Amino acid sequence: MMEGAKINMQETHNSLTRRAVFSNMSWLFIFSTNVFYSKIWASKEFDSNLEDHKARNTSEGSNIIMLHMPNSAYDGSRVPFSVEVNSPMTETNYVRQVHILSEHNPFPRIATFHFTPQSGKAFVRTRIRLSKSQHVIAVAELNDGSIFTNRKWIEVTINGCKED
Amino acid sequence: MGKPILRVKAPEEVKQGEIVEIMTLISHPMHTGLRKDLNGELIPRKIINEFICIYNGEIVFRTNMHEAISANPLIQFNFLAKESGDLDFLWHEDGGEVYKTVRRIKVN
Repeated sequence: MMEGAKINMQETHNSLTRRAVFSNMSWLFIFSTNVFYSKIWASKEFDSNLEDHKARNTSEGSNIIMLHMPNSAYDGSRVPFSVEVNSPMTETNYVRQVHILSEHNPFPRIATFHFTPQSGKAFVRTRIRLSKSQHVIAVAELNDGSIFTNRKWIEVTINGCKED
Repeated sequence: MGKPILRVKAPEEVKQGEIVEIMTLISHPMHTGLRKDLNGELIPRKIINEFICIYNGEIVFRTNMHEAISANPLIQFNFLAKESGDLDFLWHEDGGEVYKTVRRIKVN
């Protein structure tokens, strides 16, 4: 009786082979990464543009994008933040979008700013929440499809995402 | 929560071709969906997810906002004054509510 039960147990164990477990896990991993990236790059237009121009035009544009933030913030719930992109903002040469992303916030996206030639100047000021010390990343997309990125480190003392 | 207070700081008269600075503010708690109330229950997410500025029927500036924007979201941006007209400011809240205010700008 006991032996029979043992054999049955082994059979059930064998049916769930190591290979099957690993293949299931890998599918789960692929799925979760997809979900993660789709969360970051929600705009389909931006996504396709990024794919096209990733290799050609992406560069660390420290003199093109400027992130104005304090070096350290005591309270992460309202950090003054502004971003400026050097651009003439004419019909033929303007900044289309600026994405602001965080490294360690529970939700990585902070904001997306859409500019037009009517904006006159690619500058925005707002206040953001940050969960801990991290880089804040800005990705600017110009009308010709070129993409520039820049980032800045900020020290945060109090988590701004859960408390108010 | 009562009705949000909308504030816009924009000049009334500007010169043509001038880059005008506009400051907007809406009083809104921007619930992220992570915080708990006094009974220990999660407060559902309710944020202003989009802000749009329309000038004579044309979108001048638009922003998608996420959970990481502070309570009472302040947005300061610029706009190129070409002709007199109405500036419409629209705040879209989760759930479809839209808050709107209008400013008239005179261009000399």
